[in-house]
Amino acid sequence: MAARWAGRWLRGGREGCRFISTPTVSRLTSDEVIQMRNELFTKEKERQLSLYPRIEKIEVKYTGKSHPGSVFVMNKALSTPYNCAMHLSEWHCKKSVLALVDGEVWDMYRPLTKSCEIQFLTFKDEDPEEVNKAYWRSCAMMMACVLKRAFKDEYSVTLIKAPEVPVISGAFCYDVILDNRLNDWKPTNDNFSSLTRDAGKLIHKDLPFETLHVEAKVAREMFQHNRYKMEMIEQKASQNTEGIVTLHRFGDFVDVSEGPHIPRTSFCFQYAITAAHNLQTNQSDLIRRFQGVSLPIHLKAHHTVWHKLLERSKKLVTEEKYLEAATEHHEAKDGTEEGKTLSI
Amino acid sequence: MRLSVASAISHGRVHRRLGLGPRSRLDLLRNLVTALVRHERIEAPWARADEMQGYAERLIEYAKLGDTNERAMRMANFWLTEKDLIHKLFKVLAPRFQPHPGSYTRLLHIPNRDGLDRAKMAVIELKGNPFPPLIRPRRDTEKTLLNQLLKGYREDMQQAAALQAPEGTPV
Amino acid sequence: MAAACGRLLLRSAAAGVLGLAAARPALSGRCFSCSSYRISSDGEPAKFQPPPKPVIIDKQKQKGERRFLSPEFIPPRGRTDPLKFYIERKDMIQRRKVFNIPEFYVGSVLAVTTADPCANDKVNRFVGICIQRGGKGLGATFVLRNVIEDQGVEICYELYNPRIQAIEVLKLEKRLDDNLMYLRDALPEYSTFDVNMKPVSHLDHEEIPVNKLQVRMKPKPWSKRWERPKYNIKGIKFELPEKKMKAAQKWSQPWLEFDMLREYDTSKIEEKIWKEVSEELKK
Repeated sequence: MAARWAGRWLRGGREGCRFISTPTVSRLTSDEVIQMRNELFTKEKERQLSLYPRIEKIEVKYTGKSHPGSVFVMNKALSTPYNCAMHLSEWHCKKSVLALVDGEVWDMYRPLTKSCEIQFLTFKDEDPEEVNKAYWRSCAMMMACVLKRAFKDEYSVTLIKAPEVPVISGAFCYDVILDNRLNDWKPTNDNFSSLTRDAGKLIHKDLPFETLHVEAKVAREMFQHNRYKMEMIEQKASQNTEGIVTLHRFGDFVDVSEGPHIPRTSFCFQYAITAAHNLQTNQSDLIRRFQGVSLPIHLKAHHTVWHKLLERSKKLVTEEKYLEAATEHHEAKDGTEEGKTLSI
Repeated sequence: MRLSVASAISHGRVHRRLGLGPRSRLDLLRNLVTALVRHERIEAPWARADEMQGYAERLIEYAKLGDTNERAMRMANFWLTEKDLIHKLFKVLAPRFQPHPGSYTRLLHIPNRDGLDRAKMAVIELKGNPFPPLIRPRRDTEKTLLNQLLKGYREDMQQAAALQAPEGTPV
Repeated sequence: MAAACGRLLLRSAAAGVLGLAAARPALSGRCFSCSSYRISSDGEPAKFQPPPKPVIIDKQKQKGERRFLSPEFIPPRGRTDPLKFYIERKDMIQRRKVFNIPEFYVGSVLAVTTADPCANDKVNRFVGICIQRGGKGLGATFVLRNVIEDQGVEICYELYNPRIQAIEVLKLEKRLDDNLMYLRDALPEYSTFDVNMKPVSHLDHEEIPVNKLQVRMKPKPWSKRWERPKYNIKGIKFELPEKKMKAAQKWSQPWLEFDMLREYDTSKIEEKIWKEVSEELKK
């Protein structure tokens, strides 16, 4: 045991040395950066797993409608909500997008840490707002992965963040700074379709989204090449009392996330990256906002409808507009629902 | 008269045979229509309910002409075997459906009959009846992802239309 | 004897009709609206000429009110694709633009001129009473019947046949029934028309007169049992025994009137097609 620990520290130390000893870190290619983050993520995950050397049991109570009163005895820090769903039925495995653990929204592949009550959220719930948000977030993250790898090694791609836009805006988006040499580049429809094809490959691979809660220090080490991500990590760490930052990984792509994600990439059915807009900001770099639209496998649309949605998703999406609209919209909706029940 | 797929092959020459003949068929349907007007929701063999649906809707359309219309009155007199219902048809149902252009009834399948014949059964009801609803609200609510996307799309289209309209009017 | 009698009767009737027809143009030129005035001034019609202007306005108004859509424009009830009728309508309008197809009804007397390669002047003219109109769309037909040299002749013309060179309406009127096939079983004088008949003028704005003539039939057997309620014939003066007429009522179907799904309300379709056709014809 001790030897393993020692080995890990050693390896970690050596890598740390390597990064410190190479001052021109920003010259790293995208693949190298992704590789480095992936390794760090794996290491941190193994470390966290080794915190629980013995298997302990917890009791998880299912409070959903379909199987009332079910109680599962699960493994602490090892079993995930997905394992609970496996005990229930295939339907639950396939349809559950998120879990509600003691009222907290939980990823399907995030281990449970204590005895709790669990529920599953699907796309067709009464109020699938959290699920929709998670889906939009995941789609944006997939787009980020595609963009990060789409360009040749000599062009740098700096991911900024995925603005949280509601589904009603019609498109998910991710802000990216491309290399200065690409400032005049206007992406064509062919470019978008090739990006979409890359995303299709990711979907086809059916990669799971893994969750990891790490301390800000580790996250900082991971994202040391990206100053925007660093800012974001600082902000996240300051919001959290324990300085914990949530990271998500699918395949080997790691990103700082705002909240839970869908379980697998294959939950997407129709996926398209449709547009890129230049944002007007006072910063020196040209920020581009890539946009796309997607539908999950549980809610397929007819191709005519899908093409209309595609057309609409090309419009620039801004988050400010929807922040105000969301509150008004919520109030208005209550009114209409009352009216609906009255009329025959 | 609605035709099934099988009968389409015979160039529409096949029709459902109810009762002992054309006269008997209408008598049979007449009793069903009367029952529907009285109870507003009835259970019947699916074939009869389906056949009767068209007549019930036409009868209401006639009733909407008003009780001063002679032909409407004759129709009501024929189709309602219990004459106290004529008043209900003209005074209750006609005003209820006045704002609606059509499809006053709803036909739903129910499990087959338990008897020997295992006949396909249906429930037919007049819309706007006082009973609890037959159809449970769909799980696919307005807030699902696709519906939200479509809603956004619709709002955009309405905005575009609203923008275009004021431009068009002054010309 | 009876035949001679019938002929005499017919002649007198024809004379009456002719007389009326002769009188009509004289009347129609004058006031249409103020008949009481005309009766009072019977003695001196030359002096009291009513002003022509209001009469003209009256005419136009009436003309606007009465519209006639040829029955073959209305598609039959069924599951046929409406596109078929739409395309046929276009062709029908094309034909109507180059060839005048007049308004006529079952019971009107028509003269049709067709191209006939065997005839001396390559043209054949036939006069007869229209006893049936059939078909929808481009294939619409009408049947003319006449008795020529004591031989009943019926010719079925296709309305949009390009071999038809002219259709003249000699007498525009309706009968009590929509199908006069029973003229085959009626006495021949009812379907005998003069080949050189003069056209009876009819003004556009006037209502189509209904000829309430009831024909007398040959003795039975007939081609169809016209007394049965299924045919609902009003234009026959049945001379059958009471018992037989009563027996025919056995086949009546009084419930058909209440079978609401049999009704085919064409008024809306008619309105739409009228609009379409009149717009196309104006171009």
